[in-house]
Amino acid sequence: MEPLEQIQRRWPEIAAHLADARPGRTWGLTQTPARTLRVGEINITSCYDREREASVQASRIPEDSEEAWVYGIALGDIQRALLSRLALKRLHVVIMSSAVARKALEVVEHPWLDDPRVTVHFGAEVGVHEPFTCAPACVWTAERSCQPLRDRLLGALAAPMIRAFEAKQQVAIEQAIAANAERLAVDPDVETLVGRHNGADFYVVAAGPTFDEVADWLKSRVSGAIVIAVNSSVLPLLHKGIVPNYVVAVDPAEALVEHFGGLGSTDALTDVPLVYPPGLHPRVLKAWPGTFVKTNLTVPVYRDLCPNDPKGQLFVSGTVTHAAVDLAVVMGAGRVYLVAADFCFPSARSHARAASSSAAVSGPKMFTIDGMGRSVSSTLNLVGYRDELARYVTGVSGVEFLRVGRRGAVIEGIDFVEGAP
Amino acid sequence: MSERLLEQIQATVRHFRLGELSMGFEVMISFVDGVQRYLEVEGDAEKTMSFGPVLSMILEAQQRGDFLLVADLLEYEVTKLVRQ
Repeated sequence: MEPLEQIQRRWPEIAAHLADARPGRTWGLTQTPARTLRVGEINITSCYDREREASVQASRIPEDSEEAWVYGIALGDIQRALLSRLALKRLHVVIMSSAVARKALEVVEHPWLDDPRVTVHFGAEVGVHEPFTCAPACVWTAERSCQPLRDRLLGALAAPMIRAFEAKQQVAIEQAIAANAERLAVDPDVETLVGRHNGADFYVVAAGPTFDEVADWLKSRVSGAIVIAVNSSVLPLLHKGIVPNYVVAVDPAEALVEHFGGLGSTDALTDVPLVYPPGLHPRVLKAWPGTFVKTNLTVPVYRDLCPNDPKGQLFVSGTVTHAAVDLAVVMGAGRVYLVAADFCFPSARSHARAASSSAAVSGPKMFTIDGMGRSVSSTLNLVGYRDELARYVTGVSGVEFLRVGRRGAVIEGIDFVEGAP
Repeated sequence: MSERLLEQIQATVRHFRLGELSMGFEVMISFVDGVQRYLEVEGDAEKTMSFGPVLSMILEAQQRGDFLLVADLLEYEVTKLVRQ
């Protein structure tokens, strides 16, 4: 029986997805030591030794596991490797793209489809289950409806590296807390800002590339509202003649000092508070010309190192933009406008042109969807931060979230302002 | 030195095959440094020339996001050159 007929017989709802699939990419079989399917510009498996590759990928599942999840069907090599294990009783195989799966089912035989231990799922309908492995190229080519799952999978695969990075940061944060002790003893706590601007409109301004497109719109709107800048957007805002009401910086890296290095005349900032965690680099604190408010952060390293002081804490999961949004909520925002929080690289740039960290972007990246429905380059980290923000927003009640900068990545649950760029 | 380079290649290949891109990139940076040092130490012009085409192919594949081909080229082509 043909693979597509096997699918139709056992999982008719999956067959319906496959029937709707539109190719949309170029396809072909490679002329290589091991033939594989080429999807657009990438190979779906090894083109030298598929069996050896599948054995590496299957090794992510413990030998004695009775159940396993495989994300991406590829050419069936991982499934074959896992089903050869006597201990395995249930194998869940997840389609990440109907078009890729359909083509893969057409070009080679898939005897694993007959195995009673197998269940096939569609990626838009399942989450990340352990233990899992994946056919990585199928994850990278996930169709739009499966991209939330793709992002969670990539996050799970990167978790060990993130943990190692956080451990490295801990040493720098410990040193900074000791160096900042004098200031921390006298600066007000973020708790003192709770409800400070109840019901106000807030503009939380990041320094994504769309800043340059939305700055004029922003300038016409900020009068009477509260503007919160992140460290990298202070300079672009000042260039446009907009003085923020609050600035937030959380990253312990010394390099942040560059964001405050070219401020020029700083008279306008004298009364502007920098909201900072105890582990901010002392040179960054020294470079800030305004006042200071200390805050704790919802990250493990601060829970361990200074659990009780500062008392107030802001949400952070990878980016200062999270803390800036949470600060608006803490201060009583009725509406929060996210400005230039792009989480991607429109025009292949990293930041707004006036930001000190602005640079052309090249090299390996992943793709997501922008506010106009187009594909745009991003990175695993940025997409992860975007999704963390979307999760945070779903947990906040009584605040309306909107955004501007349509060439930024779509954030689930946050609409763009009608008529704004 | 070639043993160290082979270890870096194996680690990069394994990360890419498993979809662990962040870790793959990190080890690959060490590999690129390692291969430059390796070729300097070897001081063999012919060997240096032989690495050129495959390193170009790796760079192109990386820019396209074709990381399984990067893994293939490292595992089957670069490894062969290092062992020669």
